[in-house]
Amino acid sequence: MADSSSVIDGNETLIPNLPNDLSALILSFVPFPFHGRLKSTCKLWRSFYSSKTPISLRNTHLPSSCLSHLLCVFPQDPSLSSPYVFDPAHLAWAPLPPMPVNPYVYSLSNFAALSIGPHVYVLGGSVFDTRAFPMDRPVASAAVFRYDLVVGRWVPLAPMQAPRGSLAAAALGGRWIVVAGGGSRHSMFGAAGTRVGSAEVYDVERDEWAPVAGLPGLRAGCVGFCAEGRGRRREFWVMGGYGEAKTINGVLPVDEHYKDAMVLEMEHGRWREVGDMWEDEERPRLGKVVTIDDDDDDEKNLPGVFMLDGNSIFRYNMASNRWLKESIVPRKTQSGSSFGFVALRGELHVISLLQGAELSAIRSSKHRRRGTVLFMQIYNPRNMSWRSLVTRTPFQCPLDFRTAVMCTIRV
Amino acid sequence: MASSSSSSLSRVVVKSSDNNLFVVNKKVASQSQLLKQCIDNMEEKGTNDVILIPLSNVTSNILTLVLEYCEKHADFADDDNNNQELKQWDHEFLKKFDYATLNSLTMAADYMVTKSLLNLCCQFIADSIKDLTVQQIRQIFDIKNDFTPQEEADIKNENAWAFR
Repeated sequence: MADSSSVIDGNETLIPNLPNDLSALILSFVPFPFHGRLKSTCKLWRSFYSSKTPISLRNTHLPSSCLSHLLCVFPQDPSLSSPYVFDPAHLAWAPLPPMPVNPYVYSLSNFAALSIGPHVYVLGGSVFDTRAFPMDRPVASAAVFRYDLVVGRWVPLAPMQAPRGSLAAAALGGRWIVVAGGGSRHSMFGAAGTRVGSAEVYDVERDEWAPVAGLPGLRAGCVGFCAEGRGRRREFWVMGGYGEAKTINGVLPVDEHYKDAMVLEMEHGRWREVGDMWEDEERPRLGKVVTIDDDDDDEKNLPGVFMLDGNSIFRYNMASNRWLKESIVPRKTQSGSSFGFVALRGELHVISLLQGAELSAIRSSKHRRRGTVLFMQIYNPRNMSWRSLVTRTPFQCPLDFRTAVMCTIRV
Repeated sequence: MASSSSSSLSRVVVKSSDNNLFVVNKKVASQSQLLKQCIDNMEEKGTNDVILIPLSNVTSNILTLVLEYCEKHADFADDDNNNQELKQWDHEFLKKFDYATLNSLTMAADYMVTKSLLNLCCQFIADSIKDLTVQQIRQIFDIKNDFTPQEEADIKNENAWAFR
């Protein structure tokens, strides 16, 4: 059944009294975040969990609905502090090793993260470069890294042709990554930074970037997602973001936020304008946007596209090019702090930090220890219901959802 | 074991390793790819006799359990794996057994090529492993700790958060 021969020689047994192929299956079915801890059982388990076998067995034997849907959180610069994966089904966390350090740059922020299969990609971002002048001005990065959960290693990949952070990026067809727009703005500064309008496509198998038609204007801080499905042309959508800076009274720089979306038709390599998605008075800028890919429904025109704006959730309606109110987050955050917003397993996760009074309310529970406590309010668009969970993060570093980067991964 | 049926051809007889005979409805038996293959082969030959399938690797108490599982799942369509009632039943079914029984059941499911039962058993054991401490795992599965104290400390450091 399973080829575990590379890890285990004939005389050793993973679990006594059980054939090794079945033991390998059992140990692989243990949810991913627990694998690291089980390495300390014995030498054989350590080499088993250090090998490719567990994740490849999961992929060959488990239906995709039974795979672990993990949230991958980058609290800070991933080369300085570990990213973490979180399994909401088991309330379990596991650290990933930090990204390789480039000695000349520091404080990477506003990068894009996405996953294809068991791989997490970290694309671009904004950094301080000790070789640049002036040193205290952030510059955009073109660097691309991939973390392979199968073998547990970071690999540097071909850099993008144009350096960019705050970019729109999305995986396409399990083989390509499309990026567009972006700039050099750093999370430490609310304004300034360059903007670009170019777009390019990465071929995962060939490790190559190729340019495609650029956005009609400069655009940074935008969000990107792909629309694909059976019988439908592939499209890369770019929504919101800001263009050229304008000044108030010729002094104060402010961003002009886009209210529209641009769509790259992959087949022709052409951009299509979608027009403004809301009126001036509705909202100043696009909120946080995530998409839900519906595995069961290939015929649908678009994945479910949702926006968190303040305490409200909106759903994008393509026919009318409008955002329609879907639901309200049941519990608001304490003033000033912001929500994290991510789609996982067909549900929308609205994540906030529990602080002060809210924390003491649950002090009788097991969460009363050091570390950040997260409160996740989870919305299921299928039956329009909310549920929630509380989890204590294993990391001590502060988590700020305005700057933390998140993506999801299935293993 | 099997529900009554009009024709004798709709049933097969399965023999356990300790020579007990089980009369099984064909629909139930087809949950096992091994039994299904035997039945298909015999039918191709055009036999009208009752089909006897000996299973040399499965004892009668384990076979009883496998057949109980097959009987339940035969009532549901293949794409009904997400049926909540069935999931609940599966869980209650496995919950009753000790580790040795689960072990034998896993091996029987593998031998009889009943993939859904194999996956179910493996996932059930895996889920119980994740909740155990490393010491408990060694004790229950009779695994020897072959690390030196220094090696063990090093590994714990790598995964420090999990041991707090």
